Amino acid sequence: MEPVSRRIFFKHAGAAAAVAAVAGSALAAPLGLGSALAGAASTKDTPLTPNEDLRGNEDLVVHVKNSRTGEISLFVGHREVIIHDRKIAARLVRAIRQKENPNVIAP
Amino acid sequence: MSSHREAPEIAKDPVADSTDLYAFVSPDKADTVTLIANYIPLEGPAAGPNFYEFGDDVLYEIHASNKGDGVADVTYQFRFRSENKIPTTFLYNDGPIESLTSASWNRRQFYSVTRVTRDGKSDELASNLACPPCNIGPLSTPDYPSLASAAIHSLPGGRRVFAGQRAEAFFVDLGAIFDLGDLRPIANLHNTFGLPALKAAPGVNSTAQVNVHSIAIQVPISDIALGGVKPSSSSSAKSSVGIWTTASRRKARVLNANGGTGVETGPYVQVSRLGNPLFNEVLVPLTEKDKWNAQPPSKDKNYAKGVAKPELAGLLNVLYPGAFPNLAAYTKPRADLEAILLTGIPAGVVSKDYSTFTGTTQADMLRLNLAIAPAATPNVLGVLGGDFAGFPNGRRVGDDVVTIELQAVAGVTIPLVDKTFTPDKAIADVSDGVTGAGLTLLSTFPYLGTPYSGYSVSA
Repeated sequence: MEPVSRRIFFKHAGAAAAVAAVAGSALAAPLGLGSALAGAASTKDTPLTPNEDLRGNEDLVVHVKNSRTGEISLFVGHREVIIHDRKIAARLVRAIRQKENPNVIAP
Repeated sequence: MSSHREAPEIAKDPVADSTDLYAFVSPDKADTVTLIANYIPLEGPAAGPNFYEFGDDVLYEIHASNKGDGVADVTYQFRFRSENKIPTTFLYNDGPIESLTSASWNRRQFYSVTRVTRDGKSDELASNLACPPCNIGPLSTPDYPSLASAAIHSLPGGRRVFAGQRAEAFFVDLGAIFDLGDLRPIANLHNTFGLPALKAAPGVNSTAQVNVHSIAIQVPISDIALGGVKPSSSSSAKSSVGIWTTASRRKARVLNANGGTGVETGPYVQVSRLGNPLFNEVLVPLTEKDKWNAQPPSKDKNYAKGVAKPELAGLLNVLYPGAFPNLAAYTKPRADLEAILLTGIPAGVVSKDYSTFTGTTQADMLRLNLAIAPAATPNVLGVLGGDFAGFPNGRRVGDDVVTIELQAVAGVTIPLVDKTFTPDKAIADVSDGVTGAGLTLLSTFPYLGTPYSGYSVSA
């Protein structure tokens, strides 16, 4: 089970799935550490260290622009960080499916 | 209208919708320049219980480019925040507001001013500056001029600032212009599409007795001039600056299901822009207007086609058949409009002492020659009226920009660049017929008049 503070909003826009995840989510990978994001799928159960976590109550909004290519925009503070990670995109989409239908295999 | 509701998307976001931009050498303080950006179109004065205010979630900016490339060298940023001082009341005020610290005034706004330079240096000039209340009526705001005067704040470096409600100073016969261009003074010449003929009549000011929210800043000329030095030669291309205003919002927003703002994060993205009056309104196709609003002036060469071949000039020939034969026969690109709106007018075209030229970069900016002194007796037709201190050399609050631009589009300025062209006789009557008579302006900063109160004007 994901951390209790996790909240996910789903929004479909055309073929793209837009997902907004608010602060405290395990999906809130540390920004500026692009290489770490690539391994996020395999470290999903590893809690963030205090140094890795978002500052204060900073919100993180995630916009999956294209789930097939894994193009994801991360909005935090006054920054937009764009990553390309098909595994993270796939996990998010599967999380939607599972939320909508618990019989779907968990990501 | 100058830029009121000019594009489909921004029209739905009035607090971020710029309406007019003014830039002029201050008539009462000629070593300074005054920059005014108006927002929130067509404020009905009787707006209670929630009166108009700036957007706490909007970044307002006024930019100045002094290198001619359409890139800001100096930007003044304005950020607002609102407070409810009396959380238990549903009212804006529960008694007369007699000062900016009145205990009976509930809903207030404060703001900060930051100066940013091209090299990225950011300097917060002031914070927690009070806005005045809106003008409500004789019981709530019994001495409005005093409240507004108290909201003029001094800033470091000889600067002054005001942000709050003001009376709309732009005048236009909106109802006629957008009824298929039936300008009332020459409506008798309109083809009326086979419908009953119209009679010539005086114009009707569609923006009479409404308010706007103004951000006005007065700074030493050296604050925005090239090299930080007040220019002395009005014919030098280095004497003119380009001014424009923008409004921006955070890129990501998640609404709160319990009401309120929710989450706003990410970088600011520009949603509104204004330089020359009516540029986006009249010269940019409807499908491009919101995109234009998001662009910087430095990319305006992409819109130069609409200036060189203005749709409105062609429409004049259709709507007023036979009235503009010379304009109808003129097929060359409109170099006059390109100069006026996109590059500025080089010295020697109008006069050896007049220039607004900033370089060859095509950018919609309100160009102001900082070396031209204010006029002792301003002419509302600006340069068309022989007054070099008026539009399109900057823009003063009383300038009749609608008539000036209508006549320019109709061909009155073509001879500046093409001596073979003779303007049509009908051009002298091309106007919306609204003169701005009756506007009450101030002779000192912030120049725009006292806003209309909700009590004195019906919504």
